[in-house]
Amino acid sequence: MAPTKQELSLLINPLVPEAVQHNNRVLSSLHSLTAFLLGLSAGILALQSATGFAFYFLGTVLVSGLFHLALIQRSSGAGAGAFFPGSNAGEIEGSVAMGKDGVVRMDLVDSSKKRGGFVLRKGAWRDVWFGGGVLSEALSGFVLGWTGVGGVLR
Amino acid sequence: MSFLSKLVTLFGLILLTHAGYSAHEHTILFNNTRLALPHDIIVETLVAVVIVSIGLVLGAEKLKPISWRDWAGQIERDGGARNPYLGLEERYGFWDIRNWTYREPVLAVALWLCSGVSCICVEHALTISQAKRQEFADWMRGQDLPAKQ
Repeated sequence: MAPTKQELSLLINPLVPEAVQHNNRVLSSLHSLTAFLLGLSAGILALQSATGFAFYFLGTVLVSGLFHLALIQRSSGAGAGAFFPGSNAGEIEGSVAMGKDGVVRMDLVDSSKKRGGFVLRKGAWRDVWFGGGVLSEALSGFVLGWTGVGGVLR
Repeated sequence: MSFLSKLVTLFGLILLTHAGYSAHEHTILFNNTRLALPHDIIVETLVAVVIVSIGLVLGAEKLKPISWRDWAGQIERDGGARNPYLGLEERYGFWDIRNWTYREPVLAVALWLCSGVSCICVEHALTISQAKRQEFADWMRGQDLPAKQ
């Protein structure tokens, strides 16, 4: 069976596991902190039930958006693809395929000066917007802050 | 975390604390949870959230490039001090064991056992192999010269 695009991507452009872990840790600590903060403000605003969760999701979108903007700005336009492996576990943007002669050809689309010269991974924006425990650890932090402040203030 | 981001985060936290205290006072004063919060407290809370978020995002640790290519390139550009393979790249060459006669290793081991200084035999081996390498280079040059003529 011919190797898939993801396998070829990892073979030719391997990932550094240490760097992937570091980036995920940075992202999840940011999300935990901001989620707790959002919980505190939801408690101050005395939000209840669905409104509170809507507030959490809006706030998370704001934080992810800011983080993404900072990411693009700091990597001279490369964006999330240079720092997160993406939903396809490391598949690169552009084409990589093995011909019938067994030669692997890779073509990185606009990887030149325009986007910081990084190898970009497909679907990495999903890691920034939905990753970092937004629906698990960070959400529980939010509920903790929300109920805590709500209980103290009222 | 830079100084600016710390300052921004601190300012946002102060605003948030103030909003929280105001909400607390408001609840005590009117003793009625059904009464809506004044608009200024709501606005202050929302502004505080935005400011603290900006501060935390600016103060987040720097991300590392995940592709081996970019990561290694960055290390090289920084001078290679963080290179994890530095120990392999800067090491002594192999010993040319073919040059060791029967007596030399015995002598070296005896020396090592007697003095307890193991460096001596390493240095000895290195001088021998260096001399041998020079000899080989000279021989090669000698071979090359007539071919060029």
